[in-house]
Amino acid sequence: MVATEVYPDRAKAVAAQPYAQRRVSDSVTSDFAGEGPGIGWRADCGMNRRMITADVTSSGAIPALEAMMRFAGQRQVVLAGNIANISTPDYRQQDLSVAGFRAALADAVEARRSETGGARGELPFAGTREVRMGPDGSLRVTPTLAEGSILFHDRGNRNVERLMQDQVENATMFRVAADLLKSRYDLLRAAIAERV
Amino acid sequence: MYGALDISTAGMLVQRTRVEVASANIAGAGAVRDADGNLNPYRRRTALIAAGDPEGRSEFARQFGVRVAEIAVDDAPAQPRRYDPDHPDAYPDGPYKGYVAESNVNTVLEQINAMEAARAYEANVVAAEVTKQMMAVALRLIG
Repeated sequence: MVATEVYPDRAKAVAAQPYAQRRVSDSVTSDFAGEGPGIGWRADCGMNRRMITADVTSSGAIPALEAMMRFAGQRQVVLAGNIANISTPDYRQQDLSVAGFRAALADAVEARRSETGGARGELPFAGTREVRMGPDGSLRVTPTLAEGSILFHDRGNRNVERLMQDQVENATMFRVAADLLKSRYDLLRAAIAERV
Repeated sequence: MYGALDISTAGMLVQRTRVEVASANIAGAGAVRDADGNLNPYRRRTALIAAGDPEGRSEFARQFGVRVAEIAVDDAPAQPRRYDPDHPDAYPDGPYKGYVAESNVNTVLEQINAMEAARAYEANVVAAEVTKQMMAVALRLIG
């Protein structure tokens, strides 16, 4: 009861979202509560079961780290496309802006902080201008043209060294996010198992 | 991320086709007659590459992939380069009397194209390796 009073609007906001946009924790617990996918909590439960798992899996740094992994995964797709088109005439290098992603994520964290007063609750992150979550759960990627090298005779602006560097940096970002996420999950697992 | 693997595979496919075309050109460089035995020197082939792969397996592969749009035939005329008046296919008269018509293949150019394609192939392999590593990292979250 307490949880629903603290965040009275959140369950409604989740219920208003299309099903595919919701986090796994939302749908799992709403199914668990024996209701349709549209409703996340029941008033007669006495206790909001959705909140229990949601606070565990969607608080703190976990959603931000998940967003980081998703972004790095999508950027890898774009970088692989650049490498595949390395000898395509008239091809301009594309990229997803890391700075834009960082800014959008920082905005989302800031918005959550101002709403809940801390690192609790759902992170209102819907992607950047370039990576958007579609209503059916699909990712729509619209990369912008990247700063390439000089224009070659075939009107391509390939830059192999820069591509390789981008790829290494992106894979490192992915690895950092995954390792941090793993440490969070290990912490949760230790807490559940009551072990140190 | 599976889309990234599709894209790298498409890139490898394209570069392999370029190597194959270069090999075919080098192999056919000396051919003066065609398959039917007529005097018709071999014409150089070029793989025309275009961005996007409409037959890609995933949406990302269709969007960011690459494909061989066409294997075009180079219409540049055969070059009467070699002087060999005893050759049965030598020009019997005219300004090129005694010369043998040769294909329009430049073997040095083909070698360079093949080398470049091989390097680009390697770049795609590296991209696929990075994708595989990222997948392995993501899988570690389960364990």
